[in-house]
Parts: sequence; C-alpha cells; structure tokens
Amino acid sequence: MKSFVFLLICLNFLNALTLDESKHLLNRTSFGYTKEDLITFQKFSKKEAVSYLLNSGKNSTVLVPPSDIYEVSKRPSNFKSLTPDEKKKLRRAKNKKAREVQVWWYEMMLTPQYAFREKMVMFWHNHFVSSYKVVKDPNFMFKQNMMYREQALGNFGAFVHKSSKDLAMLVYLDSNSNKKSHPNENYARELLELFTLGEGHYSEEDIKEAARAFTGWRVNRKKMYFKKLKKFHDYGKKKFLGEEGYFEGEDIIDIILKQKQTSRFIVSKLYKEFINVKTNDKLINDIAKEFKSSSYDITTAMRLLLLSDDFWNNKANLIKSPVELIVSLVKNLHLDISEKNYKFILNTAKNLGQDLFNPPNVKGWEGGESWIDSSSIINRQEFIRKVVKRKWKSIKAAKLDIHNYEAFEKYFYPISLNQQENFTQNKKSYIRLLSSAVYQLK
Amino acid sequence: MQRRNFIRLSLIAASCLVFPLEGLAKHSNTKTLVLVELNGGNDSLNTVVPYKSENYYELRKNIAIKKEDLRLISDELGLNKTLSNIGSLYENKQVAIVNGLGYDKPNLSHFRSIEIVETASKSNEYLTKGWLSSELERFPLNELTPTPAMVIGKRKKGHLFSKEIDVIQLKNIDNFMTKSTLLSKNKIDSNDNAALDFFMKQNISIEKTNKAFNKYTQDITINTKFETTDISNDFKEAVKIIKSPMNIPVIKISHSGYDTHAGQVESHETLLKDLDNAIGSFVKELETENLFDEVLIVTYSEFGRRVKENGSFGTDHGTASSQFVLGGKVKGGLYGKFPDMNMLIKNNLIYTTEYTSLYNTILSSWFEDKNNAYKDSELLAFL
Repeated sequence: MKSFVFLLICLNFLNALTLDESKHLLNRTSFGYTKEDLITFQKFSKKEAVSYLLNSGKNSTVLVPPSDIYEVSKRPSNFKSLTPDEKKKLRRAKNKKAREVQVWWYEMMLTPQYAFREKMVMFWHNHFVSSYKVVKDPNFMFKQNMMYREQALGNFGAFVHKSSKDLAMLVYLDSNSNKKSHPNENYARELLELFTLGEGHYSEEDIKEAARAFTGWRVNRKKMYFKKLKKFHDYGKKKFLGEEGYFEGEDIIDIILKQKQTSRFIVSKLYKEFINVKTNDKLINDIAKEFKSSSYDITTAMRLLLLSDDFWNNKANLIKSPVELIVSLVKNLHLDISEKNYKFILNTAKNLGQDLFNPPNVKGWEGGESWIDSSSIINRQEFIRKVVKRKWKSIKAAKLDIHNYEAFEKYFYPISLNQQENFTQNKKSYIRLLSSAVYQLK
Repeated sequence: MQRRNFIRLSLIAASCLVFPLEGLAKHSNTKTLVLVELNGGNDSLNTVVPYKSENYYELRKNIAIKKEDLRLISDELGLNKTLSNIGSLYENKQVAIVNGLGYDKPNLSHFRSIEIVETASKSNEYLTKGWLSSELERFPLNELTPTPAMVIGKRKKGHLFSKEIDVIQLKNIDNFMTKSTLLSKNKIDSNDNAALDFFMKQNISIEKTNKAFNKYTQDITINTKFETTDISNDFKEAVKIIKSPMNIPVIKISHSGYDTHAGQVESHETLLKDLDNAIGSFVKELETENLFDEVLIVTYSEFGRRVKENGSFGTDHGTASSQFVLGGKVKGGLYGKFPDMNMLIKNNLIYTTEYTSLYNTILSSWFEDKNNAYKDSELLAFL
C-alpha cells in the first residue's frame, strides 16, 4: 500500500506541469503570475491545474465594491431644474465612481484566487458589450459586470436571456426605445451577429422579425428594473429562422439556442481568445457538440479547451492585451499598487486602447495583432520604462532571485529565445529586457 | 525645408540614381490621397438632402431637414447647412459629390460592410487586402517614404491595407518622435514565431519613420487656426506631413460617431460641423502653400442610413450613400445618379454607383494606374 501511494506521488510528479507550462497556463488564463503562483502550479498535473482554475472561477465572493454607486448614479428628482454647473458636477461624480469601479476590477484581477474568474468576466465583457460612454450610469455598468461574474462559468443559455434584460444592455443597444410603431433593430442585429450566431447565419428579415419581438422592453430608471411596456409591444405573428409563431423576445433567444451554430460560434470565440487566432475547426466542432449537449455549460467547454493538445501546443503566439500586459507586469514584479498608481494604470490602459467599460464599439476590442501598431508599441515600452523607474526599490526588494540573463528569461519570458544578453541587477537591464517583444507575448 | 524647394532637389538626387529610375518614373509625384472614414455609417440623406422628394419628408417626419434650412446646390439637392466650408469649396468647383455609392447585395452589419467597402469584395466574398494595397505595395520605400501609408488618430487601420504594408499609426508627430527615440533596439531572432516577426517588422518601420520625421518635419509651421477637436487635430498632423518634403502617398483619418440610431439631429450636425471645420482649415493651409493640387480628399462610410426614421428620432443601418471628393485638381460637381427616392427596398435606397467606380477613378487618374483591378468599372469624370 505504501509503495502504491509512493508510486502515485511519483506518477503525479512525472505528470506535473513544467515551468514553461505553468507560465503558459497562467499567462493565458490568469493575467500572468507571481513567483509563488509558479511554485503552486508546478505541483499540479494538467488536469489538476485546470480543475483548480475552474473551481476558483466559481468562487462567489468579491472584494468590497466602491461605496454609494447607486446613490451617485441616481438621477435626482429635481434634475431638470439644475443649473448647467450643477449637472456638470453630477456628471463628474459619476465619472469618478466609474473609475472607482474600474480600480475595483483591477484589484480583483490582481487577487490570485479571483484571477481566472476575472479573465472570464473580461471575456464576457468583450462579448456582451456595453459601454459606459453610452450608458452613462456607473451603477448599470457595475451591475452588469457583477452579473457577468455570476454567469462567467455557468449556463450560456441563461446568460443570453439575462443579458437581454440587463439594464446597461437595454440602454446601450436602444432596446429602451424599441417600439411597435417604429422598431429599432440595434439589439436584434447584434444579438444575432455578435452574441450568438455570427454573421452569415441569418437574414435581414430575421433581424426585423426579432426586433419586433423585443419591442416594449424598457428600463425603469427610477426603480432600476426591467419591465415590458404592453403599449409598445408587438404581439403579432413573427417568422424567425424558419419558425413561425407569436414569439416574444424570450422565444427568439430560445430558437437561437436551438441552432448548432450558436455553440460553434461561442466555442470558436473562446478558442481564439485562449488558444490561437487561427482556428482548428475539427476541434471546435467536437467541443461545440459537447457544449450544446451539456445545455451550454461554459465550464464544460472551458475544461475541454484547456485540456486540449492545441492549448498546450500553442505557446507564445498570442499578444497580451493592454490589461494583460499591465496586470502581468505588476504580478511578475510583485508590486504593491497605491491609489496614485491606479490612476497611472487606468490612463495607460486607455492610452493603449483598452479602457475598461469603454470598448470602442459593440464588437468589442478586436484583440490579437490589432493591439499592436506603431503608436501602441512605443506606448507599451514607455509604460514598462516608467514602471521600472518608479518602482525600482520594490522590484529590488521583491526577492525574485534573478542574477543572470538565463534566470531572467526563465522567469519573465513565455519562451526561451536561445540567445545571450547582458544582464546586470539594475534598472537599465530590466527596462531593456522587459521591453523585448517577447515579453509582449503570452 | 519646405516641399516646394525640395521637389527640385529630389529630381537632381534621382538623376544620381539614389533610387531606381523605374520607380521614379512611376511614382515621381508627391501627391497625397487623404481617405476619411465616416465611421458608423453617415446619414448621407441628411448630409446631401434630396429636398424635392416628398417621400424623404414623408418617411422622416421628425428628422428631415427643410428646404429653407439647406444650402442648395442643384434643383434637387441641398447640403446640410453646417457644411459651410465644403459648401464654399463646392461652389468653387473643387468638390465632387458622388451619389448613390454602394455595392450589390448590401450587408447591413457595420463590421462586415466596412470590410466589403475597404477590400472592394463582393458581398459574399472575403478578401484580405484593401483596394489600395497592390498600389501601395509597389511604392518604393526610401528616406522620404519610410512607409507607404499613415493612419492618423485614434481608430485602427481597418481593412484598407495588407499584411505586407507596415502602416505607421500615430496621433501626434512630436509625441511619436519623443517616444520612438527611446524604443528598444533589441534585435531578436524570431525563432519562427510569427508574432515576434510581426513586432520586429513594426519596429523597423517605426525607426525609419522616426528618422524621417526628425529630419523633415521639425521646422514645419502651420499658419491656419485649427479647432481642438480630435478630427481637426488629425487633419493638422496630416497637413504637417504633406507640407514636409516627405512623400506619403496615403493618409487615412477616421471620424467616429456616425451610428446615429437615436436622437440624431443635433449629434449628426455636430459631427458634420466638426468634420467641415477640420477640412476647412486643412484646405486653407494647403492653399496658402499652393499644395491643394497635390492632395485628394475622399470620404467614405460603411453604408448610408435607412430612408425611414426609427422611433428613437434616429435612423437604422441603410445602404447607398453620397460621398465627397475634394482637391485642387478635382472637377467639381455631381457624379453618380442620386438614388430614386420612390424606389426603395424595405425603406432602403438602391445604389447607383459601385464603390469600385470610385476606386477605378482614383487609381487610374490619381495614381496613374489604368490597368488596376477595377478597370472594368465605370470611370467617374471628376479627375
């Protein structure tokens, strides 16, 4: 018996993640790693590591959110009689609150037990897109973000239903002014094109008919809840994706969920995010089948993706998003972040093209090579230079035990470059080596 | 050093075979095409307004613009009055308005439609190169042309170019120079990693452009007042490049916010006003230097908007649109038939003029490439 246990331990050791594999997994799922993270993960087998992440993703606790989000967002009853200056003041308070919500989210990305869940929240934030610039309500955006967190690894079908009634979404895609006499197609179109089926899998007629089913869906701004206004709703017969009936918005979503294409579309998007922008259709189809037959259990799809050979064979061929670059640098260098630093972080992310809660349009951030152009390359390097300069004391104190180039490369880079570089324990070396393009990869 | 002086010098340099004669013969000009993307789908029916059409007023009860509020340009059409600079230029015969621009089987998705327009693909065809790419790939790069194209402003480069073209993107030249001087000079052997290759190529292009900027743009001064809007800033940077001895054949600028689904009257007019002011200052600055002949400004959009307004005082995605072509060499006037306002398909216009006609005209008459990929499309006579 004893020898059996010993054998198990040995087998586990043989199966354990290598340093490179640990870095790879954490770079792609957890916004990077600290030295401790790497030690923890090298004790896991692939299966254990993935299970660990998926379980951590179901953690239902959060850091304490900013105070008074609701109060600041609420429109005062005397709003109309306010002077322009007073209105400006209210707007400023809202913007400040929205920034606090951003900081709160960054703090969670930096918290090890939340990191993977937050990565999934980020994925959905970039899928069911809404933007604070349009919605103009920090509370709506915060609530949406919390809902995405609850659904992040849950049931995709329920997720689509919830997002269709999400207050920020109702405002962002004009459902709020969609009415029988003049349907507004904005939400219906993006539901089909971006959220579920993908372009080319429905007709313009389907969009028009779906838009009718969502007429009268409204936000009650005072009481902050979703409601259906009968007088604006179209109760007529609708034809949608080959079916015909007196469909409501909910029925439209259920019909969409019946389509195989929906599962393929979502799995393919996950594949591009976590594995490779060039898709492997065979694997995607296989996983999509499992995804659909699990009634759209997101955890099932993620487990299959993260345990696939494709995941482990595609190293260092994705480009870190601005948020990933920022958070991974903070984690890698074991930096403590003060309030002042967050201001810098928020500005940097915005400058690099990823202002949280403000995606450029309803398609979200395009990702991949689109993060990189001549202007973002120099801005990314400038960010790294500033961090190393300003935080040099804490970097030195972090005890990363890096004494030569080889150790530097092993810890910071996703792959080895097979080349020699000079290294001295000083700012200059850190700036030069962290500015290398390879550090931009994951 | 101003551009005028330089043209002569570069001819002498060319005769010393600094760059190959063949390339010189083909692209000896210092002309610049400025493409302006009206991102989101400009409501061209409230930009170039068919005020004679009863159907226009019938379908746009809340948002139509009355005849008396327009700057009339023909018996049937009027310009949105906010377009005062473009309006005067039109009256000076320096603006061509191309009506009914579109393509067959229109797609009403922003993202797909801009891809179709920028790659000149068919509606069901996926191409990876922009309509200009082949032209730009042939441009010989040298000290004055470190890159064949620049994208100025906040938006991404889109689908106009191909992977082979290392487009430079920037918001502000001075800023770009300060920061790129500090750029890491680390050379990495890419280990067959495509992502690393991609970075290295970009780095080289940045370095060359930085050198050129340092040498040629430092003493360029701007005499015209530009507004401080993003779009005016973008045009201001563009004019610096055009006034310098550098030779950048294509500059792309984007103006965002045209997806006017709700409450559009005021927001749309603000957009047009900002655009008009930016173009106004840009052209004025070019004219004081006699450079307007060397510049062609072309606007485009993924689509126009629906003729019938929606219930939110806005308009949903539509099809054909009118676009502007401006320049000292342009033969001003109206081109392309205005779509029949009484012949709508699901409240949308039927296009009359292929985008490829616009492209063929620009490639044939501006880049002097009569043998371009769109040579079979009808030429428009504005150049």
